[in-house]
Amino acid sequence: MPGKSSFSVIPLIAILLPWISLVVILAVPKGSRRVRLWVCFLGSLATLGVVLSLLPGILDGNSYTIKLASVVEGLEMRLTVDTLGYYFGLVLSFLWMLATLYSISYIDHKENRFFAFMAMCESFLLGAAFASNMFTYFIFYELMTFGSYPLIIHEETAMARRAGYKYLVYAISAGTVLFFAIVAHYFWSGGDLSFQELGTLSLASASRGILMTIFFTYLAGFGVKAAIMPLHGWVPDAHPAAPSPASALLSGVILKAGAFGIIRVVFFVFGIDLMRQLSLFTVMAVLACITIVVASVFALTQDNLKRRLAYSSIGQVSYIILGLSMLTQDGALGGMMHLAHHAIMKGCLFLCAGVILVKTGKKKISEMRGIGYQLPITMICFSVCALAMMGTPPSVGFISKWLLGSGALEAGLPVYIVILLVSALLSAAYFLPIIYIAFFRWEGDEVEGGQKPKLVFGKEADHKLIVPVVILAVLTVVVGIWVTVPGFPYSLVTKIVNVIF
Amino acid sequence: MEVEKTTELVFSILPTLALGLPILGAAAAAFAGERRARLRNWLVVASSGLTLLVAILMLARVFSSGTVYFNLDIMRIGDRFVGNLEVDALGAFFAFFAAVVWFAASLHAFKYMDHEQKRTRFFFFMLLTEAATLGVFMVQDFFTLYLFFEAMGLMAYVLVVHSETAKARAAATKYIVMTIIGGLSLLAGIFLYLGYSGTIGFVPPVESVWLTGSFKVVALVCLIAGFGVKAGMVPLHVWLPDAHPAAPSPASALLSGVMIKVGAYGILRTVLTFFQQPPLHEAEGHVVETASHAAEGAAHGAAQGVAHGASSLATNVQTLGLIIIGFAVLTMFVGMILALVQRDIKRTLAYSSVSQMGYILFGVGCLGFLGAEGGMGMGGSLYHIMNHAFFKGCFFLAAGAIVFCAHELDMFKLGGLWRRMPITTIFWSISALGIMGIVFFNGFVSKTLLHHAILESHVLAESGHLASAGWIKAAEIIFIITSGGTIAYITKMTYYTFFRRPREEDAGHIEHVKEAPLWMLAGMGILAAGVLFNGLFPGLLLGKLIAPTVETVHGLDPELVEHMANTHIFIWANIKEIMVPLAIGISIFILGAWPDLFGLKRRGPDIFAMRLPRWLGVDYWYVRVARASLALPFMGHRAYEPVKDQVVKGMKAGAGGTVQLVRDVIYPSLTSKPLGWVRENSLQLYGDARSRLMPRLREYQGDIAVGALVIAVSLTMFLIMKLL
Repeated sequence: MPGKSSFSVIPLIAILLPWISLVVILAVPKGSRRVRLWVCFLGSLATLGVVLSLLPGILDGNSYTIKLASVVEGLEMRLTVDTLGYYFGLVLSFLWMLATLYSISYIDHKENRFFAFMAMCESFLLGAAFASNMFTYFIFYELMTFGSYPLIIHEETAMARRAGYKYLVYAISAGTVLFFAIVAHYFWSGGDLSFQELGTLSLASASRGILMTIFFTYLAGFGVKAAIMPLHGWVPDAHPAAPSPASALLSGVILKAGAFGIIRVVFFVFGIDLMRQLSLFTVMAVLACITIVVASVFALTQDNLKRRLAYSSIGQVSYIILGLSMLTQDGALGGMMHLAHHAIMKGCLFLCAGVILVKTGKKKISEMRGIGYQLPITMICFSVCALAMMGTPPSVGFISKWLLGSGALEAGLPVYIVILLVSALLSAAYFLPIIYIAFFRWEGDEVEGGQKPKLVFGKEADHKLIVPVVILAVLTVVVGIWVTVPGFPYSLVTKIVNVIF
Repeated sequence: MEVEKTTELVFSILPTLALGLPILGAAAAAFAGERRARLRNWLVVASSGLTLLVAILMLARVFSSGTVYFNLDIMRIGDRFVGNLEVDALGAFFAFFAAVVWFAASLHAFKYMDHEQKRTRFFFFMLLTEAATLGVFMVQDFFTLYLFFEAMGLMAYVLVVHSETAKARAAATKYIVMTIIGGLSLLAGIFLYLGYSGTIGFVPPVESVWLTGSFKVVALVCLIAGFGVKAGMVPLHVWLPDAHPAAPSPASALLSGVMIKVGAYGILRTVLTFFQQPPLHEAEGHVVETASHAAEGAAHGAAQGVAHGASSLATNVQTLGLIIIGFAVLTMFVGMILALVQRDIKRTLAYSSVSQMGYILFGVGCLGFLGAEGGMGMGGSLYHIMNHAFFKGCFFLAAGAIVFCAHELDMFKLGGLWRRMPITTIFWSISALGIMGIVFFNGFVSKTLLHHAILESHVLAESGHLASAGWIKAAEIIFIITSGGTIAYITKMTYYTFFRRPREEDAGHIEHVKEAPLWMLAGMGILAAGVLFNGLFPGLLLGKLIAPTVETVHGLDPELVEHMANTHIFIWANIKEIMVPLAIGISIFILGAWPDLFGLKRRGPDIFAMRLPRWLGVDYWYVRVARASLALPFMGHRAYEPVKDQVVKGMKAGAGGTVQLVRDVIYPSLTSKPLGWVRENSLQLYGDARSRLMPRLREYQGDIAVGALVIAVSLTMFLIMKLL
C-alpha cells in the first residue's frame, strides 16, 4: 500500500464536533429558536468540513489513526480513518448536514430533543465509520441504536411508539447476536479484532464450521440494520412513523451502517480468499436476491408513500449485499458505490415525501393527484430520483446497476442480471404511477375538456426544505454523469477495491 | 479489405452542437413560456432549423473525412466504459433525415398547437426528444446508445399523453409499459453482449468468444426484441396504433417518421455488429466471402476447414437474416390488413407505419441473409427509411391539418376536401403516390431495390439448394400482396377524405373548412418536396448518399454496393413489377368502395368494415397478462394472510406443546429440595410472563411468520443451488 498511516486528532475532532450542538441546547434550552437550531446546523456543517479536510490525504492512500482507550491488552478503542471508513463517514456527514438544514424548518415541536439526538447520533455513527476494529465498531453501533430511537418516536403518536418499540426489540436482539459473534471472533482469531485489508481470519485459525458460525452470526446481527429479508420487520414501520428527515437518515445512512458492517466482515475480517473457500457468498446472494424481489413486490402493494419508499429501501440495500456476494471487482465496486448512490436518491425521495406531508398533509399516493402542480420543484426532484432508482441513465442508479451487472458477468452468473432487471421493472411499476399521478392527473380530470392546472414555480415551500431536496436531486444526475471526479464515490471505492482484491 | 477505415477518427464539434442546440432550445422555450408564446414558437423553429443545418454539415463532414467524434466523456467508469459521441456515415444519414422531419414538424406545430393546452410542455419535450433521438444516431457503442435510447423513450411519453384524455392516457400507459420492458430487454441484451464479447462497441474484438455459446442467441433475442418494440415489429407493435394517433399530429409525425426508425436502426446495427466481426483479420476478410460463396462450389474446401468458426458465423447470420425476414413479412402483412379496415385517418396511418416498418426490416433481413452480398438489401432499407420518414411525416402533418381545419378524423365523415384544402390535397397526393410506389415517386425506388434484394436472396438460396428457397419465394409473394394492399388502403383513404362527395349530413360542416395555415403547409411542403426529390433523382441519391453509407460497412462486397448504386431504376423491367400490386390494390379498393364510387346501394359484406374478433389480436392477450401480473402482488398479499395464520398457528402449537411437556412431564419430576422454590413459583412466573409477553408476541407474529417463511424459502433455494 503506497499510503502511510499516521497519528491524527482529526477523527476525534470530527466525532466531538456534533456535541457542540448538544452543549448549546443544554446551555440555552429556551434561547432563541433561530440561534439554537442554526448552531446545530453549523455544527453538522463544521463536521462535514472537518471530514472533507481529510479528503486529499485519503485520496493519496493515507490513513489516520488515534487511540481512544485501552480496555485490556490487545483490545482497544481506536479510530482509524481508512478509505472505506472515510467513504462512509463522508456520505453520512454530508447527508446529515442536509437533513439538519431540512429539520430546522420541518420539526415544529420538541426540537431540542430532536436536534440533540440528531447530533449525538451523527457523532456515534462517525465513530462507527472510523472504527478501527470490530470492538470499537460494536460500541458505536450500539450507541447509535439508542441514539436513533428518539428520532423514530419523535412524533409520539401511538403508531410511532409502536414502531419505536419494535425497532428496539429488533435492534437489541441483533445487538445480542452481534455480541456473541464478536466474542467468538475474538476467541478464535486470537484476540485480533482489527480490520485488515485481506482479512484476519483464515482456515488455519479455526475450523470450517466455526468460521461459518461466526459469519452467520455476524450476518444475522448486521442483517437487522441492513434489513435483509427475514430481519426487515422494523423498517416499514419505523420509516413512516419517523419525521421525514429522520426517515431520510434511517434509509440513507442507518440501514447502511448494517451494510457497512457486512462489508467490514466480508472484506476486512474474512477476506476474499476465505469467503471463496467457505463459499459463503451463495447464502448471501440467495438472501439478497429474495430480499430484492420480495421487497419490491411488497412495495408495489403499499399506498402509503413512505411505506412504499421504505420497502424500496429494503430492496435497494440488498443491492449492496448482492454486489459483495459476487466477490468480483465490479460487483464490489457497484455494491459499495450503491451505498452512497442509494443514500443520495432515497434521501431525496424521503425529503420530498416530507415536503408533501408538510405542505399538503397527504400521505397516501392515491390522494396525490395533481400534486406536481402544487409542488413543482419538489416533484421534479422526486421524479428525477425515482427514475434514477429505476436505473435510467444518466444517473447514479444506472451506474450502480451497470457495475452490478458487469460484476455478475465477471462472476459468470448472468442470473443476477435477471434479478436486477426484475427489480428495475418492479421499481418502475411502483415509482412511475407516483410521477403519473403527480403530473398527469389533477383534481377533477374525469371531466373531458376541463381547464388544466398551470405549473407555477414560486414559493412552494420554505427554502430550507427545498434546498436539500434540490441538492440531492442535482447530485443524483451529476454524480451519474461525471462519475470519476475525485471525492465522488467512484474515486474512493476504486481505492478500496484495488486494495482488497 | 481496408481495416483502417473505421480507425481514422476526426474531431468535430458538430455532434455536440446537434445534441446541444435542441437542449438549449428547449430550455429557452421553457423560459419564454406561455406569456411570450410567439417568441417561444420562434425559438423552437429556430433551434430545430439550426439543428437541421448542423445535421447537414455533419453529413457532409462525415462523407468527406470519415467518422467524426466528440469526447463527451460522460458516465465514465474507469477506463472501460465511457459515453462518447461518434458519428459514422450510417449515423449521420439517420441524423440527417431525423432533423429534416423534426424541422418540418416544428414548423407545423407552430400553428397546430394553438388548439392544444400546455404548449410549453409540449415544445420543451419535443426538443428534448430530438436531442435524445439524434444522440442515439451519434454513438458507436451500446453503453451510450442505451442512455439516449431510454431518454428518448421516456420523454416521448409526455408527447403521447399530451392531450390527457382518457384515450391518450390509456395509450400512453401502454406505451410506457412496453417502452420500459423493451428497454430492460435491451439492457439485458447489452449485458450479455458485453459478457461474451468483452466490449460494448459496435465492433467487438476478434478474439471474442462471441461466436459460440447459446447465450449469443439469448443476447440476440433480447437486443432485437428491445429494438423491435420501438420499431413496431409484430408481435411487439401493440402500443403503436394506440400511441401514434393519440399524440398531437406533429408528434405523431415524429413518432412515425423518426422514432420508430430508431428501432430499425438498432436492429440494423445489431445485424451489422454480428456481421462485421471476422473481416477485422486480414485473412478472415476473405473467409466470410468464402463462407457465403460456399454455395457456388466446393473449390474452397481447404479454406473452409481453416475458417470453420467464421463459416458457422456466416450460417448464423444467415439464419438470423431469415428470421428477420420472417418477422418483417409478418409485420408488413398484418399492418396492411389492419390498416385496410380502419375508419380513423391517423389510426390507418399508424397501422400503415407498422406495415412499412416491415419493408425496412425486410431489407435488413436480406442484408443478413445475403451476408457479404447484401449491399442491395441495406441500400433498399436505408432508402425506404428515408422515404417513409418523408411521406409518413407528411401524411401525419396533413392529418393534423385536417383535424385542425375540419375537426374530424373519420374518413367516412369527410369528403370533398380537395376543394376546400387544395394545397394540402396536393401534398397528401404526392405522399400517397410515394407510399404506393408509383413510378417517379420515392416508394418506387426503394421498393424496387428491396425487390431486387429478395430476388438476389432467392437466387442465392436456389443455387445453394437451401431449404429456405421456398420460404423466400413465399416472402416475395407476400411482399407483392402487401404492396397491393398498401395501394388499396391509401387509395381508400385518399378517396374518402379528399375526393368523394361528402355525405348529406356532413356537407354543411365541410362547407366551412378553410385551407390550412401557412406554417402547416410549409411543414408539409418540405416533406413533400423530399418525396418528389427522392423519387426523381434516385441515381444521385444512391450514388452520393446511400452507397457511401453502405460502403462504410466492413465485409460488404464493394462491387455489389457499386452495382446497387448503379441500379437502373426507371426501366421497363422494374415498372412492369408494380403492375401486379397495382392491379391487386385497385381491385381491393373497388371491391370495398364500389357503392360509393358508382352511387349504388351496398349489397354483400363491406370489406372496409371487417372486424376480427378481439381475441385474435396479440394486444388482447398482452393486456390480460399485464392485468394478471399486476394483480399478482395483491393476490399474493391476500393469499399470504392465511398462510401466515397457519404458520402462526403452527408455532403456537409448537410452543404450547413445549409448555405442556414442561408442565406435565418435566415439572412433576422436579422433586428435589433445592428446586422447591422454583417449583412453587414457576407456575406463577409463567403466568405473569405469559400475560406480559403474549400481547407483544401477537404484535410480532406477522414478522415472525415472514421470517420463518423467508428462512424456509432461502434454505430451499440454498439446497437447490447446492444440489445443482
